[in-house]
Amino acid sequence: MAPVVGMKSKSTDTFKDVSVESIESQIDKLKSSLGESSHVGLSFSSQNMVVIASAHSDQAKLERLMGSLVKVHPARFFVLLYDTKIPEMTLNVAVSCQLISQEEHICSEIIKIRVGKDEVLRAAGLIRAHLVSGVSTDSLLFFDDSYDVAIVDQIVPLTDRVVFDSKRYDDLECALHLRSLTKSCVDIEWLRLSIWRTAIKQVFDLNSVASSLSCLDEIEIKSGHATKSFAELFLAGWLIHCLRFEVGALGLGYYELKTLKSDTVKLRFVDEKEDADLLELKFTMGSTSDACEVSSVQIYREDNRLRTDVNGTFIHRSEALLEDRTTSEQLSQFFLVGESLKHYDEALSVAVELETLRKGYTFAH
Amino acid sequence: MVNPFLETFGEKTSSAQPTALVICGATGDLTQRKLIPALCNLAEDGYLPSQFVVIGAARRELSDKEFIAHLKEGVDKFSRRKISDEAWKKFAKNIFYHQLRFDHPDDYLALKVKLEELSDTRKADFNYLYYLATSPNFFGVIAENFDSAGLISSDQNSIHKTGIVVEKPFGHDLETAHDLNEKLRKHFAEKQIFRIDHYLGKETVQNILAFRFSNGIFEPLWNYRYIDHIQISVAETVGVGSRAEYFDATGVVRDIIQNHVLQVLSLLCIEPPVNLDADSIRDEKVKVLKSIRRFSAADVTRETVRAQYVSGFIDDKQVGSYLDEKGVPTGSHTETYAALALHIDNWRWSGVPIYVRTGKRLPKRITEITVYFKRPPEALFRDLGFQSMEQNVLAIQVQPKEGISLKMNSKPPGPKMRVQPVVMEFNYGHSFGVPSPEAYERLLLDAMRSDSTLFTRDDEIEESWDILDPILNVWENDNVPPLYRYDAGSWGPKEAATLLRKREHRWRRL
Repeated sequence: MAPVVGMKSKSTDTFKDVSVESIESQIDKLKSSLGESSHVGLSFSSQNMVVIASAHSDQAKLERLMGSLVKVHPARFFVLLYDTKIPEMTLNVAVSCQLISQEEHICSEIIKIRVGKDEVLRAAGLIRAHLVSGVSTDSLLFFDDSYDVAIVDQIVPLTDRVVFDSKRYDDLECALHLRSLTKSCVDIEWLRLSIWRTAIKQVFDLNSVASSLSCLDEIEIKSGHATKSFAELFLAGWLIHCLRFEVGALGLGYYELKTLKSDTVKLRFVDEKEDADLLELKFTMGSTSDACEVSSVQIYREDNRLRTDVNGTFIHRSEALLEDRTTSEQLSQFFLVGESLKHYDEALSVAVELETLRKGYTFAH
Repeated sequence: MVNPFLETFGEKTSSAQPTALVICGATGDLTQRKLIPALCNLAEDGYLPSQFVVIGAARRELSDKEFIAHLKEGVDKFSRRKISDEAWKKFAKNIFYHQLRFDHPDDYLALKVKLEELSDTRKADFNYLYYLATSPNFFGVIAENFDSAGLISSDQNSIHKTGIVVEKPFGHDLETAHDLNEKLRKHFAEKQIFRIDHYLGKETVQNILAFRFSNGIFEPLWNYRYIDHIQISVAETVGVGSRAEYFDATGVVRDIIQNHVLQVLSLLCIEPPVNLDADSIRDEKVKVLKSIRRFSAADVTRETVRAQYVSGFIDDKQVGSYLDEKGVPTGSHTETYAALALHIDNWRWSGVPIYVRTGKRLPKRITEITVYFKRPPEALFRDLGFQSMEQNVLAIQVQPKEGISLKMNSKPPGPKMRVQPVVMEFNYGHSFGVPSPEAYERLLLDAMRSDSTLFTRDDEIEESWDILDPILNVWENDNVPPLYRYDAGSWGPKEAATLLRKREHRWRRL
């Protein structure tokens, strides 16, 4: 993994092999080798991040991810490369700095640990000993596919927050498991939904649209199944939670949702043969009246835009740019701009409930 | 009915909806130096609404292309980070120009047509946000013409929400400020008016609330029992530059203290608001401003210092006197430096002097709020043979570096028992690892989101003039205290030091 080098960055040329005993002294040497000019000061960031990856993961991808992370989330990084076949733990370190203003560099320290199954506990001990004290610590799972529970269970609890992508795993139980290991979690699948949640929030900012929720009859979510995703379940989970509905029975092709007034609203998932996770969300109101000026709200993907149409006694439309972001871009956006994680837990819990019901139904057949 | 999806974003206001930002006076400096670079950075960070257009409106006849080229120069020169050509091209697709002679009603009708066309081609229902980057003399006529053209919607639930952003100065004194407020309120509700004080957009200033009310250790100490005094310093190295005409009619009290300093002071000294809503915070700020003791003529002589710079050296460069600056009238009596001792007559701050100073041509550009805590009893260390212990000092630096430091006394290593001050520092860049956005970024975004927390309300403006009018009247009419002189590159006249010495205080060395 080459350190990041760019016009506005400076870093040690290569990773230096180190022994456990000399980690800190070698990092200090690297820092001083970068030096300080009279105008530019070096600061070292005050957070930790443990990146857990398989030694067989796509290394170019991992490099790109690290290149992006040192820019947007400078930290003391522990990059744990895991493979059952690695006989003995090896370590190397590097320092990478980014110019954030005319006067200041922010530097990241990167400690790369290659470790086999038998030495996971040793690696956990090493990480624990070298975490910067008293500051927040994230873990980031970078597995191409399903993760190894043994390593996750040892390492993730050392951290305050775990970042992962539930889309990579077979079912939502993995997300529930990870959620149970730390105080909070960041699911990249949830971040991808941000633009949909924003569009929904914005359209319901209009009083007449929000008022028409009292006439809500059906929610339909269309998704393409060319790619595996839980996006439609998360979105449904979030909607159900926000609207304070409860999941009732599974009907023929739809779920029955109970409102606070014990009315029933249908939730329908429609699969399309398209190469996209979410295609359309439609709220259909029962009737238009004085109280319900809106007959439908449709939020749908059209090329690279997310369009919103409100139909009823008036027409409202808006659109937003849909950007297909890579994981690195998604994380950059998250660390730089931020994204609400509020109600992820509740959305996940409802999504699991919906998935369980669906599985039960399939099984009964 | 409340939007059920709103609270899930952890925000107290909506996110920005499709917005058409109309900048009146768009060919001026502010647009090129601040507004467009700020908007570009917002776009880079993904904060702008996906449907967003800027319409530059000014008297000159210009094509879209010429206007965009003019703005590009500003972005290249003034943006806090480099905006790539690709990003600029993408952003520039949303920029348009419209000739708007402020007193020509037809130009406003044409603007309306333009906005409607944009709405059609972009398939979006825009909220309209008008930014008046013009002299306040035009505020009235512009607001009037927007209204006549049907470009103002007073119903905030309507599809086109409307807002207006105005820049300082907000009047020249209480009377003119009141008149200006009246002119705007004739056409816009107070909630639609966003009076920009860019200091409130600075991260460190916003952090005052977070710092005070999210840390259990400071708030219990934040009162007359533990705080000895407070200093607020706003120092500039620059002279008046090309603003001589404006500045000479204004002076630093009107230019800096009336807005930036009193805004910072009111945030620093407020009682905990009931919540973080705009009006809850602003209600508390107004209470602080109301509690600031008004100056009698005798107080003005005793508790204020004004001065004007003469030639001197800043760094190694010699600079001329204020009176030699281009455009400054001969014999001008305008103050380029002011220092005041303020007192807040309420329970929390009784007996705690708050010193404010601001000046041009001072040794360095720095804005800092410094809180001096009372000294501990020295009984335990009295016999150790060193001078009295230093006070704990909490310094909140607003610019150029944003951060907070706390000076504490500590024992240096060695066999002797000694006490020496050490400084704990929190630096924004270091701690958060990302550069702070420009103040205008936050403020423009908040105006688009109709969140007025960081904007000044009409009563705040009027209260601050009510504090300063008596000082300015005595200065102007009675000519006391005299207008002192100070060397450019010094920290002001010696009388400013005397102002603090009366209470055995000293200005912090910045």
